[in-house]
Amino acid sequence: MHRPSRRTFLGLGGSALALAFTTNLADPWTARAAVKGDNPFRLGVASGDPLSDRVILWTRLATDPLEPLGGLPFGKIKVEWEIAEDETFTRRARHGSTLAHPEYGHSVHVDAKGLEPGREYFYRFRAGGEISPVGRTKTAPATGGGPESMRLAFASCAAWQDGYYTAYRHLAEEEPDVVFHLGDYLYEFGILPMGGNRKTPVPEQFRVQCDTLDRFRIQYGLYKSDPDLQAAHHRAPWIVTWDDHEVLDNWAGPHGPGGEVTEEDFLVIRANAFRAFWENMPIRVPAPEGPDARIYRRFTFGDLAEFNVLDTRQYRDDQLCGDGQQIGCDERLDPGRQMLGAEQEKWLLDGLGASRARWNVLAQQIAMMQLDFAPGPEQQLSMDLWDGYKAAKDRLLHGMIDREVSNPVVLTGDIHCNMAGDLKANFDDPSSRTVGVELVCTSISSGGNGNPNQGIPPGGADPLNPHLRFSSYQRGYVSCEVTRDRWRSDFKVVPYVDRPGAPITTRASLVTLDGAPGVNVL
Amino acid sequence: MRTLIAALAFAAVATLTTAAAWAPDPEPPSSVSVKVKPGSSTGTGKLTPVAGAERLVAPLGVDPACPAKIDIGMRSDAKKARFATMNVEIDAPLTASRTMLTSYLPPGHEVRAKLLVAVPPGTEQGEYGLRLRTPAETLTVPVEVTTVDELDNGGNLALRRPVTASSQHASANYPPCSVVDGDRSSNGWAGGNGWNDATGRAWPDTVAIALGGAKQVSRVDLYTLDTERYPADTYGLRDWDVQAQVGGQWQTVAQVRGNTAGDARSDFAPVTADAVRIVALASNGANDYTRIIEVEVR
Repeated sequence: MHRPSRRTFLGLGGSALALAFTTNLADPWTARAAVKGDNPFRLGVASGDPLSDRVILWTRLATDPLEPLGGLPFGKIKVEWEIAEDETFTRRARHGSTLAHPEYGHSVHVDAKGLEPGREYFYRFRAGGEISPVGRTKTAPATGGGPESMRLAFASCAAWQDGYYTAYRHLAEEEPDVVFHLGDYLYEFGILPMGGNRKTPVPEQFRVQCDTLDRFRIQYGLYKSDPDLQAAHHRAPWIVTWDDHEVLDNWAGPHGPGGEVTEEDFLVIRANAFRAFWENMPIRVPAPEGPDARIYRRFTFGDLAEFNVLDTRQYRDDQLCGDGQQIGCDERLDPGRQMLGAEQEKWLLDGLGASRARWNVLAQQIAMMQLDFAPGPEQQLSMDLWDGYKAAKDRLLHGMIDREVSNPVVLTGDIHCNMAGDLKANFDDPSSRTVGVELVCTSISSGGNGNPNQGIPPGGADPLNPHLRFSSYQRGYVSCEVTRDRWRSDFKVVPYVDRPGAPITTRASLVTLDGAPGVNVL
Repeated sequence: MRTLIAALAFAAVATLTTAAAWAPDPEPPSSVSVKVKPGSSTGTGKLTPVAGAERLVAPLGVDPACPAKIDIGMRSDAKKARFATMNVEIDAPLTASRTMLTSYLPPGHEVRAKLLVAVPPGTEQGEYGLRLRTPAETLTVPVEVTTVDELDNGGNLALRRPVTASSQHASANYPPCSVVDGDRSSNGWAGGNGWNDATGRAWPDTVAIALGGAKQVSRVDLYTLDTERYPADTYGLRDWDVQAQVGGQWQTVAQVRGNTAGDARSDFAPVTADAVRIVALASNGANDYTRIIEVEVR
């Protein structure tokens, strides 16, 4: 096997490294003197996909995150882990060791099992004599009755070059039970030498767009070096899905942007992108070995809430009529058009039909409520959103009516704008039945500072889209408190992202009551 | 998230004045460089490095925003698809935009991607080595570092000469020097292969090329953005003047009006000029920006 790296890990070969920590594992770890420049935990730690008895613990070793192999040799590296009930690791629950493989970017995905339900834990790793930062995580509640409440946050769209991740920092400080990330965690675009809005120089290697695995790896290395993003991972377990920019702008199934990327080229890019995503996320799915990877999955939080995490990109038909916003593209009504694909759609509807949860949540990417973008008698709709797949949307909404699904809540990202609205049985008839609610989080940073004067006040209504009851074009995330009686959503915003340190405020607090679908002002 | 219009570095989001809930954020167009070539495998497992050219000419003293570029890649003779890695090494003081190439690679297939090669100031002229290494084989591509004056320009007096533009859009990589980088292709234009000005709906925009001394010129070819996704009749340049700098004064030597094609040739009576510039007056469709891929001067 060839060894591409110019550096060696702590100046030792792989086998020497393995021998370097044969200390007694029963002892609490003590940090050794740090060797400057050789900390392999520069990408932080993360946890994710919590179940009632287990959680994924993640890290990716890199002494130099802006190198494709993280500055490490092409060899296996032993990594120890432990998870405890307290932050000082005196009450250790589980521990073990595993190997970080270079073929997987030296990433580690430990499924820490045998944990207590609904409980806070702390975890850390050790490799090469270095100890990682400590992460806080929490298991899902027991599968039986309860819990009485939970707190969650959701976020999306964090273009590094568009601004600072201050919103992630504020999200971390809330220490929610779980964070849902709805995609565009990373953007595939090349980054200019001065780092865009961050005005932070980046090396030449970032100038070209991500398409090969080596290039995606350094993009993740740059993103995950951010201290605010690391803080958000360190303080709560995440449940992630992807949208388009983890791969390529507005990809759809086997299709890249029209006319520029062949299907053959695109599937290679997709395989590289999926692999890099897996390497960098605390996710419980098999490592992608090619251009197909199932990431749609379900999480049950007692009988309070069930979360269906969707993939609205991999199985969809191509966008119609040249994509973008269109007037009168009737092909969008074609009943054969798929958004989720037949298999995922069946899995979703079957799951919704079988659910015993009070709140039934779809954690997904793109706006489901109808959005007419232009005044005038004719509707101007986006071909990339659920509007471009009208029959698939109707099958889902009416499928929920038919199954009498309890309190549907759709969580959405993608659009760089906070929104809340009612999901209607017929969006063109305001008097039609409200099926559930949709809560759309704005971007963390994408689009730059935003504009506080743009949007609809809480409880207002948009004349073109009367089911839309709130919007705001600012950066931030959404924080939710879910009880048996109501779902409260606080839309948190920051005034700027082009420099660090912005304060956080609540732009709107909205509630949905159990059994009464619709968005209300608190 | 994107719309066609927004993808082309459109003006910033307008304040909400209508009932519309929001306007999409501008996002740059894609500039993917990966190209896949199918083939058949005999199952030896061998990984063979490939390059898009037998040698690379890297000019000295050019704008670092427009480095020399070459396609590099690898071909798999494995039985099964896999993720393959090839090392990329280059002789100092030259630097390359990748230290390795790693990609998913179906059996028998070849995958290529773009490599940028930078020549730091003060580099000695001569031949350097670019080495593409797999476990089975090392392919060495000679890199010839030469001055712009000694470059074989094929008669194109603009090739690799200094360029100044009235502005440069910052949403993606649109360096003015890209209009003289020898690449007429619109593909990947937002990735450094074309110039987009920063002043939407404001005219004129100018881009000037110094010819490195007084040269006799009688023909200018302009290549504007033209792809299937962004056709010239919607996104390309429509009206412009061709000017030549003669004795320190700019003279208009040709005019193009109503262009809808991806390239336009202007012939004019020979003049002896120190520089040539394009004065852009209008674009097609949205009539918003100047988008030029290449300018050739003869």
